[in-house]
Amino acid sequence: MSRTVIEVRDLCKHFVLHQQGGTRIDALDSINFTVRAGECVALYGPSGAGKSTLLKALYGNYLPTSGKIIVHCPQGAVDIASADPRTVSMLRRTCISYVSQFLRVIPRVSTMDIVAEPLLSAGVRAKTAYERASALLARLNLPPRLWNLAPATFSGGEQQRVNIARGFIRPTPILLLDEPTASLDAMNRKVVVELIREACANGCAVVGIFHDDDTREKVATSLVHINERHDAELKSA
Amino acid sequence: MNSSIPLLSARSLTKLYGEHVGCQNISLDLWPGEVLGIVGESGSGKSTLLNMLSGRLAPTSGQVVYRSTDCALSRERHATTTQDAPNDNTNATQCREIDLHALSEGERRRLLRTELGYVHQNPRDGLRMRVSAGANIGERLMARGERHYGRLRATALEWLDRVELPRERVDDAPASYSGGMQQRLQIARNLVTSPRLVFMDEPTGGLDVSVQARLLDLIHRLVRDMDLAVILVTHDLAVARLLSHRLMVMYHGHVVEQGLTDQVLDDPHHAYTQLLVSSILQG
Repeated sequence: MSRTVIEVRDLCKHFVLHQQGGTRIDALDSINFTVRAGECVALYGPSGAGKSTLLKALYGNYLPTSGKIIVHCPQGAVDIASADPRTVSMLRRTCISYVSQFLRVIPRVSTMDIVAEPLLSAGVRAKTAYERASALLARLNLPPRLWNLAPATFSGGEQQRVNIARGFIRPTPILLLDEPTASLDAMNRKVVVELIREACANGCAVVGIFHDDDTREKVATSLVHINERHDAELKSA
Repeated sequence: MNSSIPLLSARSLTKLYGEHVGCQNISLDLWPGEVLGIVGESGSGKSTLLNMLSGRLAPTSGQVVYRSTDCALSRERHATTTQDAPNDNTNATQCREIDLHALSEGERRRLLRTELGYVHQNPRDGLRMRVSAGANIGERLMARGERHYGRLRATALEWLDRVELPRERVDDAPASYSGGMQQRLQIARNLVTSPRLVFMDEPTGGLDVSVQARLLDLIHRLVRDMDLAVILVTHDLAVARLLSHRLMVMYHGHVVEQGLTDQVLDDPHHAYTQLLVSSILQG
């Protein structure tokens, strides 16, 4: 059995909407699961069940109301749910990658710079960073004529591939994927499936949301069911 | 982990204007290479806080400690001597603690010319409008003792390139520049001495959207490449999101919420932050 990389313990998340009469939304209630190195865990459940909320909590983007998210990184074990902002920042630079559904970048920055950025921030030499970015963009079938353009005018599928390239360029022990194949065609879905499998083969712990059944069946080693009662159980895929 | 020592620490900063509270009991730490955004509406106290943090405005109570590498300056004013963690290679020199508000005017100016920078919202407040762009860039170098004209000019031209200003405008006074060009010149003037910490007050305020985007990209790259620490005041949450690592939300002189920038903006907890975030127009 490979080592545990992520432990989610009794995770709860409530939102209180002060602008809407203090309405309380119980998004996650007592979620428990573990992810080991080399596993790909798919979060599975109906729309609105809290899958994205859970993924965002794993990235430190949403602050859990209670519970723990222990990540075992090269620097040691850290509870993301209670870590200070600098520690979460450091983990994002070194240990946790996240591919969001939408690309959010500085206007006018070229595709190449966006994709190379995680490597440049980690101190990798510019030449190496741009070579890796080119290789990944080529693999994702993004036409080279687009590489020096800012992605604002790209199609949804092209933007998503820029996002995927940015998320995969720097191998990290943990990879979080929020519907990475949502707007991709079959050919590019296949590339993403290969990228995920390669990451797992290299010992990466992957947690993802995959709406497309075919992709999920190809990559997931187990499912975490998040049902309408907001409790989760781990089942074998 | 994260054992390095903060570059700037503020403790219990309060500024009262008579009965009126400018800022109440604010403490923060800023580490090397970190960008801290301070957001809030007009009158929330964010500029008052920035002015106290940069030593320009004396607090009613509280302290701002800057950890300098300039030993000549700090020798007279040392509080305690600290040693950086040995594995911290970004800042391996011994640093000394300076109480910014205990410095004489001359010492404070010296610090502002060397290790600190201040980018004003209105470039007219940060530039000498009647001398050439080249002289504006060279001023901090000259203040530091550089007298060689050829080197000053070469550095000025290099910095015009870095901030994407045309070299042929080196001898023109900034009064003849557009607002966006003036702001880029002000940034060059501040960064030429490779400061460790730069204060920015609405650096992209009052600029056209297209000019603003280009400036954001420029600031983002310079901050990363020079490993600058920045305290950025802005009322524009999009600017804060793109540039800052951490965020403080101010309301009526108090910090009501703080944390990782995307966490505060995507999962705001305080009623005021929720109002602020929900008020952004979707482009």
